[in-house]
Amino acid sequence: MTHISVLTEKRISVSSSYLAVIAIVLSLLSICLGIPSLAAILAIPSIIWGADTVRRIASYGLGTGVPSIGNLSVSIGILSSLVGLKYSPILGVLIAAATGFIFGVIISRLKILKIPHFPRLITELSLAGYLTLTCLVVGVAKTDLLPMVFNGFLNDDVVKALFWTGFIAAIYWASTLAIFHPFNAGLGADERQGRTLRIATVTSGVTICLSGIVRLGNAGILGRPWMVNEAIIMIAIGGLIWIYGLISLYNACRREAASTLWTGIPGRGGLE
Amino acid sequence: MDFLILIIILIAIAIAGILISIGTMLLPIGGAPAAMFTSTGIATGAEMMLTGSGITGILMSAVLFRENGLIVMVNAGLSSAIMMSTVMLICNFLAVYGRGVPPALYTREKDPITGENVKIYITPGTTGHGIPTACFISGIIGAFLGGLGGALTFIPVFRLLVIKALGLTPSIEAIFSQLIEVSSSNVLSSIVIAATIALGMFLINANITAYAIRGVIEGWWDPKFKNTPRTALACFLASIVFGCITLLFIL
Amino acid sequence: MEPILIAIGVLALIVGLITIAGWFEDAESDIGSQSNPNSQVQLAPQVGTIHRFFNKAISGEPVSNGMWCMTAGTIFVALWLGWNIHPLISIPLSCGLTTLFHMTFATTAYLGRITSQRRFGQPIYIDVLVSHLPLIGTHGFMVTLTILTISYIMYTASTSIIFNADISRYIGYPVAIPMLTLMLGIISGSIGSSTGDTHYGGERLYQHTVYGEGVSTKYYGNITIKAELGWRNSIDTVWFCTKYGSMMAGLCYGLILLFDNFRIFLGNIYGQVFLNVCIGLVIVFMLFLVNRWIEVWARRKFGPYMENIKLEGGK
Repeated sequence: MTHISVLTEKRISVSSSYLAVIAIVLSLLSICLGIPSLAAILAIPSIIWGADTVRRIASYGLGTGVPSIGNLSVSIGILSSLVGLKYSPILGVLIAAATGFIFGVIISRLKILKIPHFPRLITELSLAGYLTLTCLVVGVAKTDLLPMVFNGFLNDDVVKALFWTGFIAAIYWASTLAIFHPFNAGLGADERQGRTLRIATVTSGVTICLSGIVRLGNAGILGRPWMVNEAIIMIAIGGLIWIYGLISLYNACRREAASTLWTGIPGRGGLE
Repeated sequence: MDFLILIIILIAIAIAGILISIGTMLLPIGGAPAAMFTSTGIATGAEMMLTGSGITGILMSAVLFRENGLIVMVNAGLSSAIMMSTVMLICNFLAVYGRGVPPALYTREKDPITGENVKIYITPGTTGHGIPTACFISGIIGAFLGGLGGALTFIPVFRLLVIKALGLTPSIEAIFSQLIEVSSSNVLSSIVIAATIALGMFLINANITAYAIRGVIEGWWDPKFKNTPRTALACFLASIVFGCITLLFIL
Repeated sequence: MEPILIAIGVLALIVGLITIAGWFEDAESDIGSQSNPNSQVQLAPQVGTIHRFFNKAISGEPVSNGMWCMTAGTIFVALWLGWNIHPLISIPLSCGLTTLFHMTFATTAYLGRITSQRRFGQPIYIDVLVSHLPLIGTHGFMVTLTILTISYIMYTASTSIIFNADISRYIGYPVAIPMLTLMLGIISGSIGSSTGDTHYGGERLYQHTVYGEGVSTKYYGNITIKAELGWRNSIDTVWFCTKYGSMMAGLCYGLILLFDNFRIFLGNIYGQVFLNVCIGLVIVFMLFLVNRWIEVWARRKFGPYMENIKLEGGK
């Protein structure tokens, strides 16, 4: 058997504050600008930021509780996102941050979870969830190209497009899986941030592709054929990011695994 | 909008949070070890099992959307209890015929309900296997409370949305009494919004309790059950906070 | 035709389909080794047991099953309501597209988890990846197909007219299809995870330990890696577990929907909601009696724990 070298240090490829700043600035800007395809594509920084924050929380010892923390934070995100949809995205951001912080304080004061800096981490995670959800909702249901800073866009069309069809469940659950799956899939003794964020690229590509299909459906349901242009853009770019992510993940894993074999007998080597 | 109605809806959502939390603590949850018959209880995580049974309750509330508030809650609780009883029964069948182990629990020498000696049936090196009678009863009560909590979150939100859509004035009777003949097609959006909000609240409360349980719990006699007041308080406070946001949206 | 007759037919169809959904859902989690017993497959390289299983770690089964069923429901509604494609075409098409999503997540999970076990020497076997992925996709296709069909039937039963009869009084869930598939998928996942997985984790993964006792913690990680012929992989697992564990999971889900809908059905025929509650209590009581019987029977038949009399299978 070949000599296996242990990856000694836990290198961080990208700094977390850098990711946070990029995600908040880009996603918030795209929501306020109000161009649907741009908003959906700029959900990618938020998903990657969320996956990185899950990684930081879970490194304090959550074990199998990784999907739970993802579910928790995106649930906080969807409740704030509904408010932001109705009133204003800026109000939604403030509510997401405030409720996330209060929630973190409740949990750490009552000693349910003993994780250091928990209020700050859960605030970041609920913000990431809120930004992802709102970017995708804007991408899916917005029919015009007007900017929206201090007004919501909950008119009859949007209620029909999101709630009568039931597509809000799609956005909710796809965002949940996109945020917590990367760390859960890369869990292990030799987990590395670079590989985890590559998986986050794959899941964000999948989510944007799904949002594109939803927008395609909304174009038919609402009877507005010009929504199809943005839908095609979203599906195409989502698909490209999906395939690119898969290829880069495969290359990284083939390089970094103990060995990559076509087949073999466990413990006795095999064919390449 | 009458201020009293807002307070009552907020309290309803907060009480639902407490019921969900107590319901989860009563379920006999085995976690990952129970899948290998190393611990007593249902072989899945706490929040997963409660979400499964709570969603059955929410579905039943959606089906019976025309009825009286109390009837809907009892029916949702019963749906949840039927689901949990069937799951626990089939778990026992799999333990007995799939692996050949009789049900046995670990934290007590004698079964708390039937009084039989269970210590002699445990495999050494494990902390019980299968679902004995006391865990079964604990599970039924826990699932009933969970379904009740889910329905209690669903009903006020749904009724308020329907009342606003129909243009009537909200009042306590309108929220908790029988609805006039409304066809299903008119209320589809309201059901989806209420179901999303109920699902979100459910996941938040169930996850808080799952973190407090930290893996395995057998029933009300388990030492971990002493954490219930603290957990119920956390769920109460969290439900109030998120109830306020929900009210911001549906008003 | 009479509404009650159509409603009874719909109920029978639903129960049959959902049994298949539960069956294939548990089989799909056995193919990929998902959820609770996956902790053993994850632990195995750490104690020195290199294996050829597929390590698909996409969170717990309820969440991931909800995802596949929800994706199928979403694409279906986009095609059916948006572009008026007939359900007979859009249902298989949406389920087929969902398998792409499913296989992507499975690939990322396998590659990610095995690479993170570099220091224990577990290799990535490409033939395991390539041979298991189509099977994972197929089993997922069956689950999403049945659950999407059921959601479509229940939605149509509650909102429109079937064969000139309005059966929304008796049967039907008035919930939009993506939300309904999400809910049915989550319930399916939690049932398959709590019932069928015990057969996989307790019996098949530790088949070389003695039948008749729980798996004690001293065996943890030493899973059975040799098969009936050659070295075991997850396809051998699903061949075994479909015969009992997955079948019981399907039976469980079928019984739950049968009891629930039968209860509502009977209550609505007589117009008394109070009847629903009585029937529900009777059902719970009967289930409790059956559980008590099986517990007493097992304890009397198997007796107290005895020391192992040197019977051991080959590892």
